[in-house]
Amino acid sequence: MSVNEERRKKRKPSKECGKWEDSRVVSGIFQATIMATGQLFSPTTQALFYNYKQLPIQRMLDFDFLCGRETPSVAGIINPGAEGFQKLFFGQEEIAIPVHSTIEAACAAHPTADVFINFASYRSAAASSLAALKQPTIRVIAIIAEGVPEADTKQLIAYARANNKVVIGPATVGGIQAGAFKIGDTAGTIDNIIHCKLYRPGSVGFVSKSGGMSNELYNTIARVTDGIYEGIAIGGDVFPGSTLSDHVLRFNNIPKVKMMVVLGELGGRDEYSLVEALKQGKINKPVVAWVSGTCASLFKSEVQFGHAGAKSGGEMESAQAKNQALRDAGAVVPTSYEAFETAIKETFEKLVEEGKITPVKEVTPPQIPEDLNTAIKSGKVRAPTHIISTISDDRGEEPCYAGVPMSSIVERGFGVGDVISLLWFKRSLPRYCTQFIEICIMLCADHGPCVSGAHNTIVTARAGKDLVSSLVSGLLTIGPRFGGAIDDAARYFKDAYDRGLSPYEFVEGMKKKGIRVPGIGHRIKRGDNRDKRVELLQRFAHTHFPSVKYMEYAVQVETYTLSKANNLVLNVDGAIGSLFLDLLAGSGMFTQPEIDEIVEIGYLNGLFVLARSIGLIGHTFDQKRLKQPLYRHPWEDVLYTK
Amino acid sequence: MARGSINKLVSRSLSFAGNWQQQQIRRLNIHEYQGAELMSKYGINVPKGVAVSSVAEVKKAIQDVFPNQNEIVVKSQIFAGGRGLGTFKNGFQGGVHIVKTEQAEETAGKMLGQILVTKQTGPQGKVVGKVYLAEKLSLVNEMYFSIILDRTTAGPLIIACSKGGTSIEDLAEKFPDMIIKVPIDVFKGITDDDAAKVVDGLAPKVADRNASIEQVKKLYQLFRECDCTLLEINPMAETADNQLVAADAKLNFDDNAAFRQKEIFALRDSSQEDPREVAAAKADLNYIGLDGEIGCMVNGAGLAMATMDIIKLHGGTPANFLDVGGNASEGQVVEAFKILTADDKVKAILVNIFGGIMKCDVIASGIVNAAKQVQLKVPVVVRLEGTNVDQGKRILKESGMTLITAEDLDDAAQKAVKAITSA
Repeated sequence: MSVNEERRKKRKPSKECGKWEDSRVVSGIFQATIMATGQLFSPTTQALFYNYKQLPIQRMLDFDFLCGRETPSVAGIINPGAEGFQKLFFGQEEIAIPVHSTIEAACAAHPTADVFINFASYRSAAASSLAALKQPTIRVIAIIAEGVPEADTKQLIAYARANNKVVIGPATVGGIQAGAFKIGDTAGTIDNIIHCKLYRPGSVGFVSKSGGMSNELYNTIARVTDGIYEGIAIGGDVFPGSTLSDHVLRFNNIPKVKMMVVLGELGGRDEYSLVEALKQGKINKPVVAWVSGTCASLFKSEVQFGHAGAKSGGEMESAQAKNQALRDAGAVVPTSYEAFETAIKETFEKLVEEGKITPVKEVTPPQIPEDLNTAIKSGKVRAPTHIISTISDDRGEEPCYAGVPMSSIVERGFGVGDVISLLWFKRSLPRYCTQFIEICIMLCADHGPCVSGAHNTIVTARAGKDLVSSLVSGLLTIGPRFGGAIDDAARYFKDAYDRGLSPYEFVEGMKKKGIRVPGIGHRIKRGDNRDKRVELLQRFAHTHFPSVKYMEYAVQVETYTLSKANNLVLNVDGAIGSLFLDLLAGSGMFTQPEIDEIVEIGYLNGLFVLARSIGLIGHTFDQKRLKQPLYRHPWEDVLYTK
Repeated sequence: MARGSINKLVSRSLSFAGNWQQQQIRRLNIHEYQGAELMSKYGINVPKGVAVSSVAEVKKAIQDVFPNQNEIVVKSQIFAGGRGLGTFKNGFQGGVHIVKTEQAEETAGKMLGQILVTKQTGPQGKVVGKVYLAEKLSLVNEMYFSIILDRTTAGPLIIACSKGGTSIEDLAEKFPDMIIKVPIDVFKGITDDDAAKVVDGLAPKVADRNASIEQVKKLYQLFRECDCTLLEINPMAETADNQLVAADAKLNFDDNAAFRQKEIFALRDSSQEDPREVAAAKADLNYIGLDGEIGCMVNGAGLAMATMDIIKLHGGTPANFLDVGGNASEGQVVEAFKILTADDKVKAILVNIFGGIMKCDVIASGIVNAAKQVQLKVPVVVRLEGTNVDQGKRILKESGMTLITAEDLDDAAQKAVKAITSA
């Protein structure tokens, strides 16, 4: 993990944070008996995270940063079927955490990562957990999913017991060692973690069934003691992978833990193992305990309180009986949940009086940079956008073209000309205008295989290239000599007409400047053999356009040029260019500056590009269909010369 | 509001902050006749029987299944215990009768479509949609057999006793030496040795030993393959014709396995469920209706439990258990509020939120939106704590709703109880 190594060098670890705890557990010791040794985590513990979930991982990394950890607590992510890296924040900087597609690969790549955090669904959690338990490098597994079949959990427990491994969960939020390591979403948001001072260790070991209640208790404990050393939520299932008493016994072996707080629930017998351990003198630190669910006695029959295991069974499993048994065995048990806080407080204060608590050195945790999205949402910062768009919007229920929703485009029977008018001109033009656009597109869609665009496309398609390459190769020929004359024609005709030049002045003026008049002239067509397409356009305009002054001017120019040479006819570019000027000016839908801008930007060329794409795509398909081989131009057709 | 001791209708879903996976599973309860059919599918000997849903079917059913019987047992099929001692709302006594075959039609007619009230159904009773006509057995010996998932051995455990017919607690007290326990290796499954040990423990008097071993293995097969959490045969009986028969059975299934036990979970009979709970299940809420006066809306099962404890401590009674989960949406909060306000028994509502991952502003917007949609006739006490608490409090304040705010859990419970007593 070169990224992390780099980070380590770059970031100066906070001295105070780094010194808290040197409980880095050497793997050899760990192997002995993981539960008895006590320590599950340390400030260098790293985990593998199964099933990528951005938020919980980011919360873990934010916690790491808060604690002044030098390495991120997530060494790798296992996302079945995916490999690569996931970008996440470690403080201000971004880091890339490796993603592996299998548990085996992840364990091999990160042999020091000994915690497996399983965010798989309840259907697959058992199988992936068992696979992880079988990896020699994995020692602790946390299973988040609620609803893992009990028979499957039994297998996990049996395997873990036989192989000296620890299972936390299923149906748990996880656990936290203050200032060292946090599983997933434990302790909620960063605000809550700071509020509960979980960024540095205190003296209290806490274990509960409920993850939600552990948040409540982290707060309570922070209020009345020097804080949490470690907190574990074992999960609400009937058969948790590790039990309340397992963790209390473990806490008993951790020197830094001075007292234990236990929050049980009605149902099950787990609390009685704790009672036994207390009676047998296996626990020599104060235990403050409360078992929730005393209200169950109000109800005539069995009630299940959300957690699978929280079921009021027989008298033995009631909250009252368990509270009494714990009290009798020597635990500090309040009379109600409400008095729990006081009991914790008094127990802690007694330890302080006895001099058993070393005062915790308070540190100020670093500020976690806020995410941009959150900050924008809360109105704290503003950020400039990098793109502006005015023609379409895909954010609503359906996309809109210039404010017109897709459904009304279809319902109102719009044609492609109307869509062009919305997306290019940002307005709904009258039907005769959009129909004119459609006619232009139909007329310009193709002009045979020999023109340069089609030729290029055909050659490219025969070279075995894909559709887009073939199309683009043809489009690239469009320019001043091929198809690109519409804009120029419009520009020059407009300029000449607007300045009141006579056709003679216009044509001769152009000649002097050495510019051919665009839109005039054709390779084949003659004065006595007009272009059929031009005639069609002119007929349509005469019938529908309120004014055809630009076109009439173009015809006057043609009359003059025909007097010079028989092939200087108004061609299709000239006809479209001049008629479009009539459309813009005559429809009353555009202001003069808008018309100038449209001509200036060169919208009209777009019509040709769009239209000819239809033909070029057709040529591509045609060649593919015909399975034509690579085209090679014949030698005979080339003049080789010095 | 009573529920059967072993087969209950309860919902469960989210229970801790930060739960990212929504699911809603309701504990499965199957009828007696369905259990018998399932066991017989696995080759387990069960009394012959047939379920009917109308009087018209009775005669043919008897001809087909019991052509030569003089007497049969007619049993009402509802999800509650105490059927034998129950009373129908039409005055007919007893949900289970042994009758002469020719009287079966008449008896079934008095049960079908009627409401049976037992000590477990509550005063509203349950509708009998089907009756089960079963063979009347002549038993020569009664034993006890069960399979459970065991904590200590981390696997299934078979419990057997050569005496049976009364509860296992009674048996344990009276005949502690006759009870044997055989743990089964969760990876290997049941071996012939295991099954033989169980049969020795049962000590059948007339049934064939090898046949009995096979029965035990089939019972274990059903337990594993159907994801049972409890399979209790009491009595496991021997009949006059030397058969080992599962005379009465309790089957519990693991809700968590619903995804892979589609056939069994399809047996659910929603006509027997509490409509409030059905509504809550639709909204993916974890709700259990109870009898009290204070409607609770809490995030997290643990906190919900603590809240109910404190309500009780201050002399109130909770009207429900409602856990909106650790990651509820505004829509779910609105639905939760609708369910609470629709309940006539609710005289005050207590909202207790500790937002770990759950955001207080989401809860607050949900409450405000719900108040716009439903008429709030009862006082609402709100305690918010945790993430975005200030935003949440601001939203509530700016809504102009009359709410009673509370500082902590205890304060909230006291205020809710006070709101009821002063109302």
